[in-house]
Amino acid sequence: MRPALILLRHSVVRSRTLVGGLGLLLFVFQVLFVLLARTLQASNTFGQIAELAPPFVRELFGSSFVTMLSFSGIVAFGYFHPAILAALVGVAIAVSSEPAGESERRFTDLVLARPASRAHVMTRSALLLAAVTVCLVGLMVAGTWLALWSLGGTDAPRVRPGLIGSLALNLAALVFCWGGITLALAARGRRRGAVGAAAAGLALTAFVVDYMARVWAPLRPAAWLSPFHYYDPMAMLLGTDLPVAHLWTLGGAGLAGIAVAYWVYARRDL
Amino acid sequence: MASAPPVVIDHLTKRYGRLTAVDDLSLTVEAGEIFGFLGLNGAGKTTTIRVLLDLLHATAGRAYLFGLDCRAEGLAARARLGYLPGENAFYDDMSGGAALELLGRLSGRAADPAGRRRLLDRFELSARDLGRQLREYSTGMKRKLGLVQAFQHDPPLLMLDEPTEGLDPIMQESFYDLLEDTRRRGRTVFLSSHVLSEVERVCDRIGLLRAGRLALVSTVAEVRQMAPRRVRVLFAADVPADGLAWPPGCHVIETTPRAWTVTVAGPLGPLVQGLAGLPLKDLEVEAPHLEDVLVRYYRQEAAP
Repeated sequence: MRPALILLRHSVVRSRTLVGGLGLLLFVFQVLFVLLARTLQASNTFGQIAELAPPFVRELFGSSFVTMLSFSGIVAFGYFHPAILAALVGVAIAVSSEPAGESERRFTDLVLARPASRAHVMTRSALLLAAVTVCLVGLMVAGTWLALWSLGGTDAPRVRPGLIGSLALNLAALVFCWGGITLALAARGRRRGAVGAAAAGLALTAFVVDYMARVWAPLRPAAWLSPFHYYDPMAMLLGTDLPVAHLWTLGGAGLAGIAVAYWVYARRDL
Repeated sequence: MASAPPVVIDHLTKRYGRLTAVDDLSLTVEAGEIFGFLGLNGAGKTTTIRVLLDLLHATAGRAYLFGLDCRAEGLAARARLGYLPGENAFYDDMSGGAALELLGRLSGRAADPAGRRRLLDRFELSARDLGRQLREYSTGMKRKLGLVQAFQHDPPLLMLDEPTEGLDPIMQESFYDLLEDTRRRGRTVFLSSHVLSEVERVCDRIGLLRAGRLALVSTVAEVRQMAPRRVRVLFAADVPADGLAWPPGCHVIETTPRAWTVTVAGPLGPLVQGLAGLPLKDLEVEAPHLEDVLVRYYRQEAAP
């Protein structure tokens, strides 16, 4: 285990700028979303904004459109904004593709010429993925709660207890899932860029499949294949409890990816 | 286990699809020797080293370090190893010091700070150099850092792939001195190199790979004896070479009326006897070179 921890420390140092920078950005975004929600609430302009939206947009989103344009909806917006989802999944892909980068640079040769095993390398990557996921989503939650506590004001509506926690847990499971899938690809790959591009392409395809399946019935039977299918923030905004099955599915897919990575990496030629 | 040879390769074969990179290779490197592993590009040297490090999995056969199976007991085997890869394998955004620290900690053997300092001094790497990022290092500096990381925990076995590639002549000398010290302390070195003069200078034994097969294993002294010696015969008066019966093993390179240049494979006696009665002025015999034998082996490989 000691070599895995030594490698983990090295990887944390190497990725601290990326992860720390994005974490800080997400923290600030969450504060800004709360500030925006507070401002809109104070000026009572949620209704006016809703009226500005074209009718087809309102029809497309249905009841969730109204929910989104509420204090809770704006506060939680960061947890399902496509750009933030892309950034989180992107970082998960970046940190999980590290084994391929190490093979590409031949850094693996220096590591594995020592009493460190291939399993140590994979354990490092799995721990790094878990740590990065917790760190990023944790900073989002911290930003949200800190802003709600300090900026929300006494007259602001209370965000339903458990909503932010449920969204964060489900989002973390989604990010972890993509990290696990990427790690499985990285265990086989020799070029970090190729692994990253393949994982990003897969994520984009899965996102499009999930989105299309929501608005186009013929694609609905394929929706279950997309990890994004198991992240439905709108339903949680509308009051649905955290679907534990979704957590199991995403967590299970991530763990399956990691298990495949261990298996493949142990057997491949480096 | 303590008395097991540092390296034993037993009928090792490595195939990539239809290409056979290493073919039924068997080899033993004894404790305390410097073993030169030679061959043209693509002969299978690096593949063999990578199998020993368990970076590649053998198609057939086994390899052992200190009696430990490289595959099944790789961790214990590699705990006694220092390795210098053929290519620079560092991250450019790491500092030299951070790279040495990381690799030292991964080695599992505490590096003696005074020993590391001596190594750094030997290769003229200052504390300031170690504080710089590796992207600022020249090729030679990266090579020197690579050598320090391989030697810093004083392992019983060193596996060095093209160790002097990129080093200037002064640093090459420092490296040869380091190898001498290493040999004196009873460490074993498994060294792959293209530089035949270097191999001749530092190695006790050599193994030559040709198309994945072991073409030659011998001590450097024995290989030297296999080399034809170049002999220059100088005369005090003109001597015609035509019609002279050359003894077996002699090959004429050049003849002028007062000087003949020949190569002699084997003992010089028959040539000296053949020169009896001629107005001999001087006889210059060049020491045999490893290169003369090895190039012949290489040419056999290169020949279609």
